[in-house]
Parts: sequence; structure tokens; C-alpha cells
Amino acid sequence: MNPKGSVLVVGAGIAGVQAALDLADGGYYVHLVERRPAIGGGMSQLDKTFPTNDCSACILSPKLVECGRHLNINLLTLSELVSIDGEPGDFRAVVRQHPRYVDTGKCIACGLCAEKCPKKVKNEFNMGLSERKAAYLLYPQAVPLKYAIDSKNCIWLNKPGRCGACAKACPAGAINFDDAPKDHLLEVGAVVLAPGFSPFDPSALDFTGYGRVPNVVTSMEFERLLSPSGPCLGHMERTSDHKEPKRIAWLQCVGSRDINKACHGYCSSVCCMYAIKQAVIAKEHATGGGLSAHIFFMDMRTHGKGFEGYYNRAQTDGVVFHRSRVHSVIPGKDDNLIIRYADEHGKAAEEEFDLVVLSVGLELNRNAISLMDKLGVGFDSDGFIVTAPFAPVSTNRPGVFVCGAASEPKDIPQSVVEASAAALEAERLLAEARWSKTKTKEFPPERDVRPEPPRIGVFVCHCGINISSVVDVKAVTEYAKGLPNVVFAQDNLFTCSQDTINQMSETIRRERLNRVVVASCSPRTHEPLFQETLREAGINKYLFEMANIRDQDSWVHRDAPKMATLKAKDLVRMAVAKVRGDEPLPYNSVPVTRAALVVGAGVAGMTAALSLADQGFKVHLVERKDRLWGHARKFYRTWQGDEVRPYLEDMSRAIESHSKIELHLNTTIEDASGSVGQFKTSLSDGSLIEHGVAILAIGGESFKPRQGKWNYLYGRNPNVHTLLELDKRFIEGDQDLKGLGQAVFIHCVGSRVPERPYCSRVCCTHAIDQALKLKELNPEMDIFMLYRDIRTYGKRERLYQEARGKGIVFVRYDLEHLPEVRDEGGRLLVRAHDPVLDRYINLHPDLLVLASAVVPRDDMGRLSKLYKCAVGAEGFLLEAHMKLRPVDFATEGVYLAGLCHYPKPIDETIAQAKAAAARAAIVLSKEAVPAEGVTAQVNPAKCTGCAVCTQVCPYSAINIDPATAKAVVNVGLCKGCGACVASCRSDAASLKNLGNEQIMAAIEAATEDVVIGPEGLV
Amino acid sequence: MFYATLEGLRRFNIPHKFEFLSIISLYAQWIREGRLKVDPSWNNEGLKFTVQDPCKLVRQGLGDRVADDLRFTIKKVVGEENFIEPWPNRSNNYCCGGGGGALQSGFVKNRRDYGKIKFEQLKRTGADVVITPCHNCHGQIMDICDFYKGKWKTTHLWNWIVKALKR
Amino acid sequence: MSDTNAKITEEIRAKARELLSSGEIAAFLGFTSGSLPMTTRPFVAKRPGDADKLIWNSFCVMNLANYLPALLESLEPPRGPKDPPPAGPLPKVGVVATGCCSRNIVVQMQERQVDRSRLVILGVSSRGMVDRKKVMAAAEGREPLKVEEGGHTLKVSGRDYELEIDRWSAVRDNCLTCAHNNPVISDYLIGPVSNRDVKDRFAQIEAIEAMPANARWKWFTDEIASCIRCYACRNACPLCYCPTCFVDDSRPQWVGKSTEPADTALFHILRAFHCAGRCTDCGACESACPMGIKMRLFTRKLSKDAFNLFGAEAGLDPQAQPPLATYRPDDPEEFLIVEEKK
Repeated sequence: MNPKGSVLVVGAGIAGVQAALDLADGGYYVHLVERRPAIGGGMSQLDKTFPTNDCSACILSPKLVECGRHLNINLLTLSELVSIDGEPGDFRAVVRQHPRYVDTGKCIACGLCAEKCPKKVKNEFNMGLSERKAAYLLYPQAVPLKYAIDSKNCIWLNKPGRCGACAKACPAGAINFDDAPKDHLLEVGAVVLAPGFSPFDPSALDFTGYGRVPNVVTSMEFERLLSPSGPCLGHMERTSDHKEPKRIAWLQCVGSRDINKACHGYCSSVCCMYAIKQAVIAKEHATGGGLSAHIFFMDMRTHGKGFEGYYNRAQTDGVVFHRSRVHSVIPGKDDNLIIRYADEHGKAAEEEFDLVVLSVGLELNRNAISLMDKLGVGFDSDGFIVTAPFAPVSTNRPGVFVCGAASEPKDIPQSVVEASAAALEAERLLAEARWSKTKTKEFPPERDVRPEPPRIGVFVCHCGINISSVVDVKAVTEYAKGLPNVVFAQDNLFTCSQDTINQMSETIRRERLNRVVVASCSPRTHEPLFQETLREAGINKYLFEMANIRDQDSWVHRDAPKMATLKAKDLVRMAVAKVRGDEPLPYNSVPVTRAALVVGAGVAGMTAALSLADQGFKVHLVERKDRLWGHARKFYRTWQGDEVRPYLEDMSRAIESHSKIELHLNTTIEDASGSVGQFKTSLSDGSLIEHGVAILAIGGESFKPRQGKWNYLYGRNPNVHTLLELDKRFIEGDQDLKGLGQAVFIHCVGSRVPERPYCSRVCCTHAIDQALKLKELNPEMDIFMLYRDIRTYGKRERLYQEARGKGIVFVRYDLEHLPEVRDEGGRLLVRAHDPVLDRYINLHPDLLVLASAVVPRDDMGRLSKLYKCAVGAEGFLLEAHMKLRPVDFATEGVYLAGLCHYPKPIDETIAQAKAAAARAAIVLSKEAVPAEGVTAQVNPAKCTGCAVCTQVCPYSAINIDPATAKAVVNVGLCKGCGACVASCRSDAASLKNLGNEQIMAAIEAATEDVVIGPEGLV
Repeated sequence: MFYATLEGLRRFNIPHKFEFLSIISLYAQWIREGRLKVDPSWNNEGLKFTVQDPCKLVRQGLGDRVADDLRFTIKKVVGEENFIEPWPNRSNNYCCGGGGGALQSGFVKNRRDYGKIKFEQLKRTGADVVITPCHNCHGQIMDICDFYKGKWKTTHLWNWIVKALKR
Repeated sequence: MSDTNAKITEEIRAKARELLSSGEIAAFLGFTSGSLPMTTRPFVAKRPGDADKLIWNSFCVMNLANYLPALLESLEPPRGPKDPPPAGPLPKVGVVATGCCSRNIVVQMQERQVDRSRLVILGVSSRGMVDRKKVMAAAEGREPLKVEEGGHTLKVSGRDYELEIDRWSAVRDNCLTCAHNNPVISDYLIGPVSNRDVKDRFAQIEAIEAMPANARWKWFTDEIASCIRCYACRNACPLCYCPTCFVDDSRPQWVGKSTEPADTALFHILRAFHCAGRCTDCGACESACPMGIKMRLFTRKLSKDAFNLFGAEAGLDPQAQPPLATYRPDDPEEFLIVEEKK
């Protein structure tokens, strides 16, 4: 078999985009297929994301831009997968690209077509809350930034000759009514499905008032109301009268956990968190504060990393939580709404609100259902794509993988993990074909500009109307022409568009420019693109500066266009002053040792090791104990009912027989040094391992409440167990369990408490599964579960339903009414307060099971320090970004997976380990990784060797050279952060191309026009 | 009797050769067809009407469709602008509390306690007349109106159809 | 006091002579008499006979640590910039050190300016050094031609007058509130050891902090008004060893070189911050200043902040990290303005 080195990714939401980037960076050519005219999926419609409250577009756009310009990603928008034939490694896919009716090679996204288009249509991106034209741009930050014509509503396309206003208005002649569907026949080795979700449509739920009463919106609609790119431009307004709401209610579980009304029985996993986020953000948005936010819920499910803290903070900030059942939403006066609900004690109450938000659940993307059916991937009873046991991204069709919300409702971090895991599976399948289909960029030789006097070119961008609607771009360009050493200045509509880029390259050559300033947006979005343009034009990419006249000018000074134009001139003048001093810098790189170190041989470590070894990379697997399997040894079965032991046995066999895995049992890490590509780790057995990447999979521990508040007689009475101790009895087939008359479970033992304010995520599911197992053994057994919130998220809700159906009794407790456990002559007495009855109940269990916390290892700090990784406040390892980089550390080349990151069940551990392997493979697949060019340097004449810089460097990139007693920078490690420069008293350290003279030049340029009179600044 | 028959047919899967309808659906159909000619102009004082969706007719009976027919008929009879929707309504409507023998059983205080929610709901509409297409509802709603000192008149539907008949 | 000082002088001379004779050290850094009354000079003894010139009295106000790095380097065999460091042990230096001076030696060890293994430290517990400007003030403008130290007095005599003043009343400001008069490291201890119990050691600073902003600014500008930019303070300070001091830089010229108030103020403020958390309040700067400017108050304010905010005191522990290069999550954040949420 000759596997093909390219992969098809279906769906370009965050999961599809992440999978595409991991694959493309890892050596595979990717065809990224997206139904909409632009990529970004559901995440592009969100305002802010939990738990970091980051702006969704801000953290998403860089990834979308990267996808759009990646040499090895073929972006096919307005496209749908029609069919796949063939087998793993050799598929033939037919992708139908629907006509855009706009030539993307010519479109400059000026927006005139939409302006002139007479046909108004509901804007689906804004969930129907506003209108767009038939000629439209999906959203302002769309990638690709090209307009499209909606054939269903376009007047010309339905009656040729009748309109055509857009074609007349288009300055680039880009409108093409003759555009036709194109079928692409793609030969790929693997397929990754990421079709995403559709929000549940609550129209059928009449009691919510949706569609019947004004000011009842879904959560997605509310995101658009909050969003600065939405129908109200970020001013929170309610739909009926555009007044700002002062009292908002969220109704949870709309279309989830609902087996009535032909709804869905599963939990949609994200709605509790997104409702809390919306409440917190809405409170911030409210002018003058004082917004009242109420959330009506059944169980509060904040089971992810950082979520419980977020929930606690929301409560402190004044968000009101009602554990309740809502009867109806009925209209009040002035388009207000009245919610009638019953609280936990059965008392009915009514409250009035200005706006009601329905926290709707997630379904498999409705547009994808028929396709998935055709592909034969299989659905489960909840309508999601079904995955295999212990293989959370594998469908039942070999070579076809799935990630994201399409297989189960899940949040963005989990979707990103699965996307990387799916990429890994494709890479594992196609390991032989790595780099076979990818394109590499060849650059012309660079001319040495050092002997030349500066010849600066300035390119000022309109950014469509983003900049030019406020700043007089033409005036700024004229002004730039008059600045010293500026020999060329030009304004462009979209400097980042392909044709302008080509033009810029040509201009650089023709005018023999040796410095370039682009006055446009933030370097975060397009700096790499422009730098690459300089290379294409034959000069060093560091001879470049950007002036941000959009994010820092036109976007924030909309009301003061004259001043904004002056400011733009100032910014351009400063950038020109600075760029003059820029010098060409070397393109540093670090050679990669093509081996990996995996620390910990539990499920995460074994999975990561096999994932890398199967691709042909050498792996050192280090385990401190004398055997494999980690904590999974103690588990009985997964929540889906699959026994864990057989799976572990298969893993051991694979590991022990793998030619690429060197197993070091009974070994610990003594010391580590180096950085990405060049790590050196010394082990306790004396060996020194050289490796390019490291994956930390060091696991967690189970909390044993031997004393203190959560003891509940654990260790003092033989019938009190932890969950794992009960699992041991299941594994051993202990027959005594059949004879138990009563069992009691206590949830949240040691979790969600002041000394450990996080949720251990796995225990509700585990405990309920154990309770069901006990019922299997003895259907007559009485089982009571004392809980705080039941967190059987996603499809796990099925277990909770089953448990209640079998008569297991659930009694809620809170921190003010802790259960009491006493030993009465050997017999256990459990006294609990039932909030519904408002009475105490006495239970006499034969077995008391404590669902105790999952805790981080004590020695997390030692290992994390060795690899310069961070540890979070809760004691778990801290990833680079909780939302979009859940397996990376801020330190490059080191990754994490499993319990050391956060408590999680086995299937999520497997996914995270695969994801870490995929990220690690991006480094290992190369001979060298690029290092930073803008690095620090030390002037030895001024350096006193006082070593303060070595203490502040986060990357250990600067050290005292024992031979000279002066500080010296390791350019392979240096990231150019400048901490050493700031710390140096002697002015010995400086950053290349950011020296004192350049900064002073920019400051002097900034203040050039400032006049100081007798009274101070004029 | 209506509900008992309907539910009996459904629950025990009794085969039957007849169609089981509510007269209200026929009113609606006949008005649409023009066979039942009604004119709301009699309501020159702008009397306001609301309606009770009986449990046995709507939620447990024939569903929201018959509630829609009920509203269509009422609006045609009294004038659309004179109809006030109670909330919650249709299948989500509150039970009046007078069913299941409550009117006859003698636990008057309990029945009226349950009926307080219905009273509040109807009072909130501010209607002058409450149309109750169910005899039990009629009895209960009339009683709680009197007991809680409401201001509306409780009637059936046919009275107003008669009033609106075009002569 | 004079007896004590005389005894210490003898012991220093003896030890220095012994170390030099045995060849254990190549040079001994101490004090010798100055040419005017109440003055001393730092002095390097290279031969055993030179040890007789060493003295110890209440006017040893310069900080000997200032001269240590250069002295150590001067004793090394000459080598070019690209040559590797010489193999084998390098010549040692002996030095007298009181509390503050020894702390500065520790700071120099932390900052890799001196190698501890090349030092032989004779620790002396300081009884406080006398500020000659205070004595001159007591003499009310009459020139002192001879000053003799008594037990706790100073006998000042000049043409046509003789004055006896209480020694403690003329002791330097920094010595009055010194909490570390005993050497923190030493190889030998010379003379009696005393422990000082100082209350309110930052009282002088607190008094200035208590002033309203306008008054404080006036105090500051008045204090530095007479500065002639001679840099005697900088030159006397053991912390100031940068090859190119910021004040001498011209590309860019961070601070103007004139005596304009803005330039002078900037010089003093920047130098104080460069010494923040490192200054031991040895008072050498103030003692060296020809204009009598009390610039040690600026650095002392920053020492107070380092102590109160970070629990850091300069030069007490060779293993300690400098406070400005370390971060702890519980570092105080008094600069944050926190508003109560209603």
C-alpha cells in the first residue's frame, strides 16, 4: 500500500481548523472543506469564551488567518463533501464547490456590491436578528475575506437581467454570474470529520415562549446581541424595543436532559458554563452597572478546569442561581417577561425580567446528517456520530476520524484536544507518506542592504472601511511621502490581499526599497505575511515595521476622525523613525533530536508513547514504578461499560514489543536541561537521554480522607470505601457484594471545598455507574446517593436516568448540611438532610462509598521546574492557554496529558495523550525548528557579569560565560522578550532591532510636533 | 364524558369507525367555509374576552390544534382586538382545579385554594368575560370569581356565537 | 573609645603584618591617616612593613568594599580579552570590614564582583563613625586643627579655642539607626562586639514621607540644589561599578550633564533606583559629598520599601536572590487601586 500524504478535513470550525493546522505543520497536505463562505464555525459567532473571558474572535482569528495562508492547506469554502470511496491510505473524495459568483482572485472586499444590492435577507450569522444583502460577507473578520452571492435570494440569479447592481458597482470586475459548481476529485489518505453542531431550536417548547412572546432569545442569539460585530454593535439591547435590559434570566437545559416533548435526553455539557459566562459578561456590559442576572437550573455543571472557580466568582459578583423547575415564561407589561417557577422546596414563585435567554442544547449539525449517513459512519441513539471504545476519535469506518461536537456535545478545549488527536490518528496511518505531498517555499537570495542608505517604502491600508471610515488614508499616505528617507508611499484597500502582496513584492524590487513600513492592523494578524513578502522580494524579513492604525486608532477613535488622522500620521512617523535603524537579522534555527521522552506510563503515557512510536519516532518511556498502567490498574470499567483490564493488557503488549519504545521502569528523572529540539535529561539509572520533545503524563492521585472534615469514618470502619476500593472488589468478583442490603454513596468528598475549590469531573459518573453495577448484582439493594450537583455531562446523563429509573434515591446536600457518619457498634449510621422533605433521614448502609477527589501529585513542582513548566493554583500542571492550547505548555517542546493536567475519564485521557503526541510530532517531524530572530545581545564592554539578567530570564537563554565572566545569549533559546534588557543596570543588554537608539528615535519622532509653552504642553 | 370516551378509545385501542371531534373544531370549520356566518360588530362597547383551555379538551384531549380552533372562533365572534390571551395557555394552561369531582366532593376550601392560581391568572388578563368550553371549568371559575371577588362574567362559547350570528 | 580604637589599631596592624609576612595575602586594604584632622584615607599595604601605617578610629567613613574588585583584579596576572582565565589560585587580599562594609562585600559576592575565596576579612564591630561636618558645625565655623578622641568625647582644638563635645552627638546619621554594626562575614574578629538595639530605624524616612507632596518636593529640590555633579557619591559607593555609568552615556544621553535642577534630580533619582535593595546605608556617599547633601536618604527610603514590601535587606545572606530579580505570587500590590463592588 502506498499511502497518500494528504488528508481531507470536513468542517472548518475550531476543531477542523486545529486538525488542519496540526496536519499541515506535521507534514501533510490538507484539503479543508467548509460549507459556509468563510471558516470559523460556531466559535466565530461567540462574543467571549469561558473560563478566560477572552474575546472569541481575538483568539480565533490568528488560527483562521494561518489556515488561510498556509502553503499546505487548500481552503475549499462553499464546499460540501459528496462521497468517499476507497480504503484507509487511499481514498477518493468528491467535493462539490458551490459557486460564489464572486471571483476570489479579483475581489478586494470593498463592500460596494453589498451596499448596492437591493435584496435584503435574514442574516443567519446573526441568528436572524438582523438583515444582510444577497451579496454579502459572512462576518467582518471572515477568512477568506471575500464576498459571496446567495443564489437563493439574488435577483439576477433567479431572473437574469433583472438586477446586476453589484456587477455595475464592483470596481474590480469580480462579479461572475456565470459561476458554476465545480467538483473536485481529491486523493487523500485519511478523512477527519469535524462537522460541528447546530443549536437546538426551541420553537417546539411552547412553555419557553420562544417565538410566541417578545424578548425570549436563544443563547446563540444572545451571543450575537453581546458581540461587537453583531446586530447592536456590542450594545446589549433587547429585541422588541432596543432598550438595554436590566434584568435577565437564563433557563437551563432547554432541549437537553428532556425526555418529554420529543427532545434530547443527553446533557449538552457546555450550557451551564456559557450561561454563567453570559451573565458575567452581561453584567460587565451594563452601562452604569446594576444588571440583575438570574440563572434557573437543575444541576450546575461546572466540571472543567477553572470552571468551578468561575462559578464561585460569579456568585460573589452577584449572579443569582435558582435551583428550580420553570413552569412557563409568560408576558408581563411593556414586553417584559414573567417566569413562574417552583423552587427546591416546592414553593411556587414568580419573577419579572426584561429579557429571557434560553440555554439551548447542542445537536449534530443538521446540515451534516445526510452526509454522515451516506459516509456510513454510524450514529448513536442521541443522533451523534458514534466512536469506538477506547478510541474517542475513531469512527466505525477505518481511516475516517471524527472530532469535536459532532460525536458528543463538548466545549472548545475538549474539541481542540480531539482535533489534535484526530490529526494524530491520520498521521499514524500515513506515517510513511509524511512530507510527500507538501509544498515548500523557496525564497530568492537576499541582497545585502547594509551598505545602502535607507530607502523606506510605506504602505498605508484602508482595510476596507475599517480604517478609511475614520482615518483619511490618502492624507496619511501623502504625509508619509514627505518623511525623511521615504522614497515610496502608497495606499491600498486591503494590504493583505493576494494582489496587493504581489504588488508590494514587485515594488520593493523596482524601487530598491530596503526598509518597509505597513500602516494597517495588528502585527498579531499579518506580520508573518508581510515579512514573508519581504523575503519573496529578496530582502531580509526583519527590515520591517508595522504601525497599527486600526486596532489602536480607527477602531478606538470612531468619534474623532480628525484627531485619528493626526494620530495615524504620528504612528507612521514613529514607525519610519524606527525602521530606519532596523538591521538584517539571521534566521536562527535549532536542530531537532528526533526522539521523544514520555514521563509516566499510565494510560496517557502509554498512549502518547505508542502514538509517536507508531509514526517511527524513537520514544523513551520513563516510569517511576516497576510496572505499567498507572492508576487505570484500579479501574473496573468505563462508563460505557467496557472493562479496562483487557484494554490495558493490549497496551502493555504493544509497548513491550515495540521496536521504537525504550522502556525505563523503576526510573525517575534526576535533572533536565535544554529546550525544544535539544533537551538532555538524566535518569536515576545513570543514563542521559537526548530528546527533542517531552510529554509529561505523570498522573494524579486519589484523595484518601484519612482525617479532617471529609473523613466520614474512612479508615476507621471496614465498610467505608473510596470509589477505587469498590472497583477493586468488582474486579475481583467479590461475591459478598450481592448480600448487601443498603449502600450509600457520598459525592464531592474533598472536592468543591475551600481547600480544593475544583470539581474532580469523573466521580459523579463513576459513582452512578458503580451504583448501577451494585443493582445488577442485587436488584433489591437500596441505594442512596448523597450529592451536591449531579455532573453526568454529555451522554453520561443516560446513566443518571437509568439510575433513577432503577429506583436509586438521590438526596442533595450542601456545605451547610454535611452528611454525618457514625459508627454504632460496628453498624454505620448516615444522617443526611433532605431538602425536599426538609427533614433529616437516617440511613444504615452496609457499604458507604466516598466519591473522593482526584488530586495532583505532591512532587508536581519538582518535575515542572526541570522543564520550566508552570503549575496552576490548584496544583495541576498549567497549559499555555486554557481554551485553545490545552496540551501545550508556554515552554516550547514540552506537552502534557492526562490527570496531571486535570481530572478526567479514560477516554478523555486517551484523546489528550494523542493530541500531545500530534503537537510533539510537529517538532519531531522536522530536522530543525525555527528560532527567534529578534533576540537579545550583550555588549561585553558594558557588562559587569552581575548576573541579574540570568535570574529574570524565563527561558534560561542568558548565562554568564565562565571564561569571560560576562553574560552571553543563547540565540536558540532566546525569545526576545526583553526581560534581561529591562533588568540590566549597566545598559549592556539590548534587543536586536529594538535598541535604545531606535526607541529614542521613535519617541523623538512621536513628540516632534509637540510644542511646550511656558505653562507646559501646548 | 367527552374525555372519557376519547381516552378510552385511545388507551384500549378500540377500533371505531367514527371520527371523534370537538364541536369547536366544527364551529371553526363552518365559519371558515362561510356556513356559520358570524359578525363581531355587536361588540361596540369593546367588551374584553379571555378563554379557559380545559385540561380534558386541550392538554389531555385533542391538543393545541383544538385550542387554535377555539381562539379562531372566539376572535371571529367577539372581534380579534377584544380577545386577550391568558398566560400560560394552550397545553401549558393551568388546571382550573374543579375537575375530578372536586366540585361535588365537598372539600370546598381545598378546591378554592387550588383555584387561587387560576383566579390570579384570569384576573391578570383584565378580561370582562371568561369563556369556558367545559362545564366543570365553568362551575369552578364562576365560583372562584365570586369567592375571590373577581370582576368577570363566566360563560360558555355558544352564548356569544348566538349573539354574533348575522341576521 | 580612644583606648578601644588604639587596641583595634594594634590588632589590625599585627594581623596584617602576619598575613603579609606569611604570604597568605598579597595586599591588605585598610585605612591610614588623612592629611587633615578628622580625615582618613583608604590604604593598601603590600609589604609587612606597611602594616604600621594602618589605623582605626572614629573617622573611618569610606567603604573599603568599593576598592576591593579593582584591587583583586590588579593583583591578577595580566591577560588579553580573549585569553582564558588563569589556572590555579589567584592572589588574596585582606580587608577590614565593619557591619555595613561586610554586607557590601556580600552584595559583591552575590553580584559576582568578588570571589570570597580570595578574601581574608578582619571583622570589626563599629561603634559608629563620626561625621566631621557635625563636628565643624559644633565648632561654629572655627577651623579645628586637632581632634582627639576621648572615652565618649571628642576634644576639638584650634587657634584660640578648645571644645569638648559628646561623641555620640556627632555620630553620622546612618550610624545612629544602624541595625547591623557587627560584621556579617569575617575570618577574624577584632575588638569587642556590641549589639545595638535600634527602635524606629526608619524614623527619619517616615518623617519625610509624612510631609504633604508639595513640601516633600520642596525638601527634595532644596536638598539637591547645591549638587555640583562631582560624582563623589557615586565614586565612593561600592554598588556603582558599571564600566559606563548611565550618567556618562551619550548614546543615548539618558541624563543631562549640567547642574540644571531637572538633570540633577534625574541623576539622583536614577542612582537611587540602581541601588534599590542593594544599599547597606554605609554613608560613604554622604561622607564624600563636598556639599553636604544627604543623598543617602533617597536610597534609605528604597531600602525601607524593600524591607517592608519584600522582607529583603541587602547583603545579609550570600545565597539570597536580589529582590528586584525575584517574583512571588504573594508579592504586595499596593499600587493596585481596588474599588469595592457594591
